[in-house]
Amino acid sequence: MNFDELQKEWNEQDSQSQVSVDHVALLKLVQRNQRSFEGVIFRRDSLEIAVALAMVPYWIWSGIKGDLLWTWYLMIPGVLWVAGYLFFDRRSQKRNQPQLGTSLRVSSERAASQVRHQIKLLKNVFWWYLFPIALPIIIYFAHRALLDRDGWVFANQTLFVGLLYWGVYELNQRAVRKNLVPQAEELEGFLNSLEQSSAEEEASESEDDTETT
Amino acid sequence: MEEPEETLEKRYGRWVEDHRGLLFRVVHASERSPDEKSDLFQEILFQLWKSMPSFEGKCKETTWIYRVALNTARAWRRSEKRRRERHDAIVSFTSLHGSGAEPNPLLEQLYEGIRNLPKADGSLLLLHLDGLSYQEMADVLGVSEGCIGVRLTRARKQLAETMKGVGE
Repeated sequence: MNFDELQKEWNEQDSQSQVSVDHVALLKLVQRNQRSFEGVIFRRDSLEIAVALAMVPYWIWSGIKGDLLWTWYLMIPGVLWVAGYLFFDRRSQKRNQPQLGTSLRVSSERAASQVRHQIKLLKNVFWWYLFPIALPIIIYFAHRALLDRDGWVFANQTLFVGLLYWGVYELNQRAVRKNLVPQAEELEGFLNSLEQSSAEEEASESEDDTETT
Repeated sequence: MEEPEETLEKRYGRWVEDHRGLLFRVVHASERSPDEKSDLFQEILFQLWKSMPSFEGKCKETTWIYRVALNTARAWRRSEKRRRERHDAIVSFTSLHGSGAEPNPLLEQLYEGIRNLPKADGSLLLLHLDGLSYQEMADVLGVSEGCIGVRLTRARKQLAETMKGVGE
């Protein structure tokens, strides 16, 4: 069977469909789904930042109530840094969201850039998230241990914090390896296959030029 | 007298009605199982609605719809689970197409051939079968018009290999 015959079969398939769509019901459902989707995204985006910000008054309150050392309050700039980082990162990424109405190449390039950003973010999770929080905790433990002259408790506390944060770090790296790297490779493969045709075109043009000369 | 501007809702209804065949073909060429097709079809309808405010008429409506549908289908596998959780069933894929109609084995084989091609080639072949010009295909894919010919020749050869012996 040649391509023209396939094309004929292809063109006839639409005429076999006679079912109509209830546009009013469809539109209502799509609009409802959009509202629910936007709600989910808003909650996801604001929850992490809200939790980080809510930590500040709690931290101050517990410091005053327990009459704790001044190093206790070093956690506040750490938490504010993480909340600010998340806020500005989410905002900048929102602007770079792939637009589905653009060509496949442009949309895939944007999607690939987003995935690469996400990989970079999680690979560096230690520097922007874990370290600014862990450091004030360890300083506080050290301060306490120094006053109490109890190095053993400090060693245990530091080990506990270290293990906990190592677990969080590993979870993030696992997400990079299992989800993000395959996504990036898939997108780059797709983009390469589009670019490959441009290279082939150039090659065939240069062959034509050689034959002409 | 100036014609009143078409509302988004009306335009959406018109797009779905006029281009449901196109949407069906993209879905069918991307997924195998009925459940996957149904989910992807709903996702495309959802993304089409979401994309409408950005449509400024700088390209043809069909170009825009192809882009949204193919981009959604390309991204689908990566995030299907996350997306599936978030929306209810909008319309059943089987109720929209193919109800009662016997599947055409030749077309099924053709769709299978397209699904087996690399995604960029599959998309190109689908656009070609739908009768788009080289310029229109280039607009949808975002490549130069010149490379469409090279790629199309190769995709047609690959498809011919998978379709060998079918329909004889």
